[in-house]
Amino acid sequence: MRMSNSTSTPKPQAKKGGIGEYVRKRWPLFLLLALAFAYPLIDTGLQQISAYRFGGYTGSFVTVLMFSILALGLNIVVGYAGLLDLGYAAFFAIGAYAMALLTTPTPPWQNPVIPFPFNYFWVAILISAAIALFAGLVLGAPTIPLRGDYLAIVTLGFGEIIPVVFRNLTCVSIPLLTSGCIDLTAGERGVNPIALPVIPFTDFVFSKIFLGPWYWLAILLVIFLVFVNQRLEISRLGRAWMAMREDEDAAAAMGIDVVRTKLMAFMMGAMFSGFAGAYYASYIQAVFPSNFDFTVSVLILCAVIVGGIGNPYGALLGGLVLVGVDRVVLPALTGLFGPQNLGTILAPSSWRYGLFGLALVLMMLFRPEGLLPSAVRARELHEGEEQEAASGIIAAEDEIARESEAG
Amino acid sequence: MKFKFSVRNVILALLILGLVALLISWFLRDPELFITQVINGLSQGAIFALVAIGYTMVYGIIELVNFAHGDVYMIGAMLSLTIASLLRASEESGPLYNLMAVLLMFLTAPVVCALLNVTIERFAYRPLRNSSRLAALITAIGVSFILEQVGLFWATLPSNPFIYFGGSGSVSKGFPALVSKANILADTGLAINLTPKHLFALALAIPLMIALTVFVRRTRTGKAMRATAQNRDAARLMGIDIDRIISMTFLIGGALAGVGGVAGGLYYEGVVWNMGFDMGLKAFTAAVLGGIGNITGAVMGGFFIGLISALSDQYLAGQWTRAVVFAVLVLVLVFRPSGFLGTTVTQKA
Repeated sequence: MRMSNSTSTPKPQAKKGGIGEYVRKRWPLFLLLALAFAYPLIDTGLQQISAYRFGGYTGSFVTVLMFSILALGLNIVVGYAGLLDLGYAAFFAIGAYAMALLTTPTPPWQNPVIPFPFNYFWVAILISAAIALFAGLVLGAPTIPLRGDYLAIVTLGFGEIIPVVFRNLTCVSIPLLTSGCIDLTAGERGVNPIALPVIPFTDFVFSKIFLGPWYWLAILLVIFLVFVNQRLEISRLGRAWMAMREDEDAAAAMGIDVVRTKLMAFMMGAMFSGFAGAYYASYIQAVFPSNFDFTVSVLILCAVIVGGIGNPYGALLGGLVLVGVDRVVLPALTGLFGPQNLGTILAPSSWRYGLFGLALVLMMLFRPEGLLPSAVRARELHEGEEQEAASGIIAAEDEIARESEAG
Repeated sequence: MKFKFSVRNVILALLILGLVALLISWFLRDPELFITQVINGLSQGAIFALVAIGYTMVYGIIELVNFAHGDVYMIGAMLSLTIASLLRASEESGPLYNLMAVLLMFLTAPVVCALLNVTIERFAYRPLRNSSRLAALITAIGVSFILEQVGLFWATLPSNPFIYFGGSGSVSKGFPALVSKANILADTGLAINLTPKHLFALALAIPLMIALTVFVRRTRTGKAMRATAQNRDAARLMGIDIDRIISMTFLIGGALAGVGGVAGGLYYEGVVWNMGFDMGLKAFTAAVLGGIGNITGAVMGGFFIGLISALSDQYLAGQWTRAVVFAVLVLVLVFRPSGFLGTTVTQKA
């Protein structure tokens, strides 16, 4: 088994070579990381050289990385705990709106600006993540008795309700406290501006002029999340999740507290999603309810599934590839051909539905375990085929039955 | 059925009591308005029910939430708009001509949608029949996206041959009001709005549903369907051609979605490429509400969701309707996953 392997073999860091040895063994990974870190500089250089004809994708890559964070968070819920969540964008929305409402200076919120040494962003992002975590608890609790498809549909329901709520909280009146009604979320107009991160103890503010800091922060978050995912996978909680995923009843019989384990998965997933949402809100400096519809949930889910369910590197790869295609490659192709040449509808960026749909169907038909599968999940998904191959007698009988029906 | 005195049941009872009280107060405030909304709700509900049957039958037989079903409905609506376009049918063209146009829609859209649904089953779902349910669900989402893409391209047809397409660049297309919207009760002095459009949806849906129920209960194929739904392997051992029965299920579901598509286009007087997603969720809610796998339940659920939507549109403000419908879905799944008519089934992970 995968998990027992990774726990029994000694950690590479513990070996004699120390960090140098660790880096040498994984040099492609570190080379890739170095390249990834250098990208904003390369991009800026490219823009300078080509007189702004190429490059300028740092901003899109921030979005791509953010979706990768979401994919890593969803990997916990879907990949490890096996809870099919079709409304993951709900927590993303909650995090983003929490951030927006906690920091926007516009009425009725009129948040104060917290002075040096910390700015409000860092406080607010933690509060937002905490709010999302709590939302995970609240929305997860009613789904405890549900399994499989029903769970998926209930989460989908929550995912649809949350944006509607944010869209419509434009006239809330609290009896006795307010006269008239207060516009809490500004509906379709969205909430802006939102606090920008400032590096503590300095006056360096993240800006829209050079997107590098946003990008680097996102990469650091991604690395941190991959690490958290890996640690969780081999932790006691992670093993409980996987046991529950394989067979809930058996897991309960083995003494796993299913309620607690399920809620932990929802809360962890929601926390990461809320964190990403808060970051995203600050990054785009505005939140709109339409940013959080079903397609967002599906995009994240697709990233996890196409990448390789239950494997953090898979989720990361899926996020990079899918959202990269959606936010970078298709717009770039559209720019290349020019919408004026093709008409807006024929522009590659309007093919996203068809492309994603096709990718999902083909993936499920030919490689259901994803691009970078986790060993356990791959075995499960091919279970049916193995059984068929193993029980040759039944298969032969089926053949005969089919022939006799045909003839 | 014995009433068990548990917290869950008490909450449920309080919810139902509150709902009934609310309904009575609305009725007393303005009975005519209330009845008008009930009529709206029932005719919308008929369309929901038509689509919900497809969900419930497919789920009953292969335990798949067929996400693409709502989009088959959308394709039906698109097709009928294209027919209206080609025939140049509009409010101005005579009622007889429009009747012919609508008839033609009802001849083509169900056939095309049925074949489409069977094709989807054959190439996307059948190869995955023995793999995990997650894989099948994801495939259904994928197929749904592909159909939405088709709808998106379809909506951009040039306006010269297809009069209702092209033009403004908007992807949402108006549907000509081919069925009269004149109030039948205008002479009675009542402020109730009852039009042929409302009756038409009901007149269409109810006979079809009765026919389907009879088909499933009385015919040999219907019996085979029920057997397959109960236990696929046992049914196969009894000599039932499972593949044919499943195809048949998709055929019927698709045809009803096609009928729903025509009716929906005519009723809402509009077609959008992503209308199938919303309809799909509402119809699925209806199917769950009635007890998934149960055709009569799906029909009842459809009417119930239609009523809820119409009343919520009127009394709670339209922008909350979506949230209300999904809240109902969540509440039903949490408190009574077997629905109104469903029997308790052990859920499989």
